[in-house]
Amino acid sequence: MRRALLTILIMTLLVAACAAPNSNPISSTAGSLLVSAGTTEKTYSMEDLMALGTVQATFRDVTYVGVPLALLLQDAGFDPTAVQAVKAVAADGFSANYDPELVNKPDTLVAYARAEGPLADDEGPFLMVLPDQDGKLNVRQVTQIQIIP
Amino acid sequence: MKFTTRQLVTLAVFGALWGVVEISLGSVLHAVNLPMSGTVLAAIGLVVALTGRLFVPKRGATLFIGVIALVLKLFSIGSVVVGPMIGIFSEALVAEVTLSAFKRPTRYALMLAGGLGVLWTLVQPFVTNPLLFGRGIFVVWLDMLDLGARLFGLDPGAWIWIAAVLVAGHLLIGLVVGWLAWNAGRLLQDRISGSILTIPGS
Repeated sequence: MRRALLTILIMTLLVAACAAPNSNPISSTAGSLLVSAGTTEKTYSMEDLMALGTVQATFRDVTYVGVPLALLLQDAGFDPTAVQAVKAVAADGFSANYDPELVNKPDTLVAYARAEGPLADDEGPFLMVLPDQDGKLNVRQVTQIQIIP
Repeated sequence: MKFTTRQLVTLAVFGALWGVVEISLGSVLHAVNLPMSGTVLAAIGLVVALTGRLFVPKRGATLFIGVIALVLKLFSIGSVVVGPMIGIFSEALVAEVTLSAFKRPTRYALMLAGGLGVLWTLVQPFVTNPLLFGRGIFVVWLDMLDLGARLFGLDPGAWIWIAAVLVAGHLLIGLVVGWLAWNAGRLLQDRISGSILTIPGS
């Protein structure tokens, strides 16, 4: 019985360790977005993104305004059709990876606002919006876009 | 693979237990977005399924338990069920094939079945993501590396270490699953034989 309890304790600890919050979150300047590929990088502010474009896309009945991801990559000096994948990294270290097909979809946005106002506190300053995709791919509080060439 | 009515009822009970865990805990884990929730569910489900195999030590018993759980998962309200259903079936199938290689269920057979069954949860995204969601295998691989890097604090570039730690971790959890199932099964059998005197399939 003691052995069984010890085993359960070890398993619980393993699960708890798996659920532990990230101890090494991505550091970033508040309100800025870093687009990088290796040593090449460019930082965007909210105003920079707003100047790039105002495309709308809807996810779960909410319409967002932002810049198409492909356009952002082009502006940063990368060819969006030549990437193997793109990774969006959130402030807490959570990340999602996108296939080139998703990257180049015109409604794949880096959103900076909702159609009716600013993003919610737990969404902004930047939110990935991919209509018709799983919720996990719509990363909130994005701080970095990493290109995997 | 012919079961008596009593054995079928026993398998249905264990299958229902696994199914209830999938419906209840599965929905909660999905809602809170816990990392490796599939592994947690597989571990619990396989403890139930492997314990059931001790009560009905016949070929096909573990798969039968998995099919019952899978059918119950269909009634899961408000959550995605196709991926988990494939997971339940695959885990039961892997455990079944492993156990079928042994003449009778032993502690080590259960541990190996548990290890390979839980390990399947690491492989499954490479099958279901391209098939169900149209995602590329390279992107699924990147997801796995990111998860490992976040969980274990490793550099995402150290892909060999991340993959090795994930495989070893899953195998270890599976071995513990098999070990627990053997103990739980034995304990239950002892208690039942002490009170009812008859154990189906034993």
